[in-house]
Amino acid sequence: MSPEMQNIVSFLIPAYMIFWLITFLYVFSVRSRQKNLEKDIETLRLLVEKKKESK
Amino acid sequence: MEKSRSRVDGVVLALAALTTLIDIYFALGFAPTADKLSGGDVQRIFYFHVGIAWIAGLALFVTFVASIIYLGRGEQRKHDIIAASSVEIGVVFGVMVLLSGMLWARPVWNTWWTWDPRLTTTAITEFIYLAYLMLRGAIDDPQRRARFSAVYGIIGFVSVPITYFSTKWFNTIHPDLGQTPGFGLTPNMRPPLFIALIAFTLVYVLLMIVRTRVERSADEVAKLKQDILNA
Repeated sequence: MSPEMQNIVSFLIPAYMIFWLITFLYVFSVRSRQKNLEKDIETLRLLVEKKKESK
Repeated sequence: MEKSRSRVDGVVLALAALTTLIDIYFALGFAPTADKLSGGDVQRIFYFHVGIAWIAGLALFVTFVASIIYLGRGEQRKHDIIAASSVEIGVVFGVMVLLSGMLWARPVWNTWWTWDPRLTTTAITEFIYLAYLMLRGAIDDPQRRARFSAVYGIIGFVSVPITYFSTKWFNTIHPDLGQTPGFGLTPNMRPPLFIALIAFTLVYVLLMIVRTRVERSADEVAKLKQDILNA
């Protein structure tokens, strides 16, 4: 493998991959936080309704 | 409301994906190979590196402006949401700036890291905003947290122009695009850079949309918890 090709494989490709990997991990983390909050909202709404009904 | 919201999300997502794909083609295919001194083909990292750095800077600038507005216009929660969401994106992209820079530096400077003024100020800025996130997470009272974050967001921003101008103010080996006419680039190198800036701005807008939604949902959870306690 030529030194230029070696540089592409060792540095250029990892640089682009790191960008995509971190971006996807971040989007995934935000998305999962949002899903958890939506679940909490649903549960809490049910609790509020139950409390109102029991009154 | 829900329908129009997801339509906006879809449009921004499609535009961001399209411009990013176009940028990959331009950066890896259209742009000419740089000279050996700049790293040859490895120099193509530059198109993403600058785009990422642009997002990090923009995100922290948005936090700075939102913090000023928060303190100046009656401490409205929506400005705190923008500031907090933007910092997080700025920190994530700041990490990418450092990593992509290191991957370029290794074959060109023959080292992963050097205490060059640009690299050092970038790392300091990253730590300043990491501290912002940690301190924000440590304050329970929402009002105090928002006020403290706004003050920190304004003072902390001092590090951003210092980082940007570090290549002018200090002796550095880091390339300085602003000092040379045409950004020191050949005409064929400019389109990939400008497309990268557009693509990454759209990515930032998209991330802001989803991240601010998390803050609003967290507010709703807090409000519902309060309702249960009051009921």
